[in-house]
Amino acid sequence: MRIVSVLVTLSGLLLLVPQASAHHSFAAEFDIEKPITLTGTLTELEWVNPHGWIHMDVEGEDGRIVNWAVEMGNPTALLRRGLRKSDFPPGIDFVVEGYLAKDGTPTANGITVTFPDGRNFFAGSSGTGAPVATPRQ
Amino acid sequence: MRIAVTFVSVSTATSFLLALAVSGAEAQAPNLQGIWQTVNTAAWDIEDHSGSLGIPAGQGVVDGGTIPYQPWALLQKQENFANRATADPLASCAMPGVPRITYMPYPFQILQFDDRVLILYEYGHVTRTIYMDGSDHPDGHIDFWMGDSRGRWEGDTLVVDVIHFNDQTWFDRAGNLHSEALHVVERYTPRGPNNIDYEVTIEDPNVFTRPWTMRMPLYRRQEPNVQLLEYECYAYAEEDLAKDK
Amino acid sequence: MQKKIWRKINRFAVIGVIALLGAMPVELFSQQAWDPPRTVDGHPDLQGYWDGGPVNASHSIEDGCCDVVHARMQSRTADRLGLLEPLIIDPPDGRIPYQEWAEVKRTQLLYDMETPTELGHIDPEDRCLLLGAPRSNYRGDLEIRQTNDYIVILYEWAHAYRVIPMDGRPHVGETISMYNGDSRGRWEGDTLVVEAKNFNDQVWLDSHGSFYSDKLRVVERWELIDSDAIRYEATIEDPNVFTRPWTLAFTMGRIGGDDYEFFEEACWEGVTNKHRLAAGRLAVAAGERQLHTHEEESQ
Repeated sequence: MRIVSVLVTLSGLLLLVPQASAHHSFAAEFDIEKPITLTGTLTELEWVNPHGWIHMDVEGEDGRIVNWAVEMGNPTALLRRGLRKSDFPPGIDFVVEGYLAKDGTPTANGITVTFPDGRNFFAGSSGTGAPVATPRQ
Repeated sequence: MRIAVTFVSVSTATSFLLALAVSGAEAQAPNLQGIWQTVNTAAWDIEDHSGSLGIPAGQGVVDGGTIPYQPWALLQKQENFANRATADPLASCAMPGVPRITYMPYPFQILQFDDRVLILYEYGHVTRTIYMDGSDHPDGHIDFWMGDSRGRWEGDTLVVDVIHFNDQTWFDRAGNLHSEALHVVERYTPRGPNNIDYEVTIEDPNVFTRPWTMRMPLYRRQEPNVQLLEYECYAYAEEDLAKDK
Repeated sequence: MQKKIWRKINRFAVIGVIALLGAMPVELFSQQAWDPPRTVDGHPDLQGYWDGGPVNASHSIEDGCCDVVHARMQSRTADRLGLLEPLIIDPPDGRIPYQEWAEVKRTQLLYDMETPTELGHIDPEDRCLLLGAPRSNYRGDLEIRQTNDYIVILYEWAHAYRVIPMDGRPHVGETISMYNGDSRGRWEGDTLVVEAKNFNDQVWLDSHGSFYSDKLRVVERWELIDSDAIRYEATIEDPNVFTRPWTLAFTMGRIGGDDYEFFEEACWEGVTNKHRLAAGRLAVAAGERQLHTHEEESQ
């Protein structure tokens, strides 16, 4: 079953804190007073630097489907863990928690992703998450 | 006198051999280090083309003259050509991919080490690390602009195998294209101290009917104190290019 | 009789002290001599992959990271806030010694970054511009390679690089300016000394709008202090902008095992700032401006 195999493959964080340096001025772009939960289906995963983007179809209260763009961290740490774009095929259902963009578009900064079985992947509370291949001695 | 002659010959031979070898590198590996550049019009169009405003005429660099496109791909190339002023990924300052980066009219620097060859390109501060340690490409597919390069020596030739490309780059301004299945094999062979023969084979079963090859000389930049500078394409037109980003 | 005993005791005491000294480890008597691994030309081998020191520094070399909203959105714990290692060692107060006019301009940027209306209000890192020296070295992971004539520093972020000729050639002419400047290196004993100039004025020393002019000059010192650590120091000078030269320093740790490799990190190709600019223009139109600060109260 495709979704199960995807869940099994996901061995680490889906959404990551932006790498190494703390560059992103979040307050300028996203609203901490407006946390948002999006339930939907993956339509496209932009596996790019400096931020990846999840595009997902979300059914609004009015029944209309709106395609949302959710900003992630950069994919290098995911690549280093052996994950690939093909591990995230369109059609996956999931729930995203994040913060709404301030510009009025259907855009959010993603913090967590939760799958139907309850498994939850969230931004590392370790903070900056600079990638290291092996632990330093 | 004989001793002096012998001494001179031996030391000359030794110096010559040392000049051929790279410190720390495997014995017999040629020294490709230095700053190099192509001199042709391939960046505009890798096939034969007449002159047009701002673009010199050029003899193509494709063996056999014509790129062996599948019919659908030839139509796509023609559409690309018609829209090239805006559709060329370089028009938005994206990385040029391989091998276009080699024949962009900007210098690049080759540095050699035991386990890798570095190529640093002035254009867009592009870098390529060619891993020479026998390692495999990472499992794929990965969408890189410049691919993943693994190399080895075959006699005097540096052979570089490149995969893991996105489908976004063109081979030139004329709209010559490829898919994500692109597989590039480069061969760098020194010819004298100031030239490298560069031969590159292109394979992409989605786009071409067979593999095909380009070849061109690389010329050493010989000016005293020559060095790479910066060409920060997108920074020069950021306002305009960033409008919709 | 007592004299004889004292003489014996003294003799034993002397013998005892000598024996004790002889049994002690040699290091206590010689200089702790660290002999670094060396390349074939006899200089310390700095090659390998290194972390960019205390990563919070790229947000602010004075205050680390970050503002309250940023910290909360990224679930940063208290131990990950602030400066993980003090960076500016001179002046002792750890603040960039800006001239008065420059301090005003920098404060203006600290407002503008919260409600950006143009690209110049946005951290150059978020525009994928090359970050120059020293910022490139505390922004993230780097890789050092050495040949006889060049030292090359590669940065994973945005595939940036710096080439440092070691052959004593002059700098390029005054009218060539570059984001990463123009570097020249030499060895002073076992310390790599790099002098960099020919910078442009387009980028910042951190996310806090710490700008400089094209008269910036940087002298870096790179020293391998043990097999897995480089001590990095940079003295920064810009007579247009600072009241005096000042110095930052930190330690970089070695990262990665045998198979470690950098991945390509395209930046410009995927960057987007349109949401931020749209939000900024809305806010400014509504008269909402605020200072970027790490103080809790003003959030």
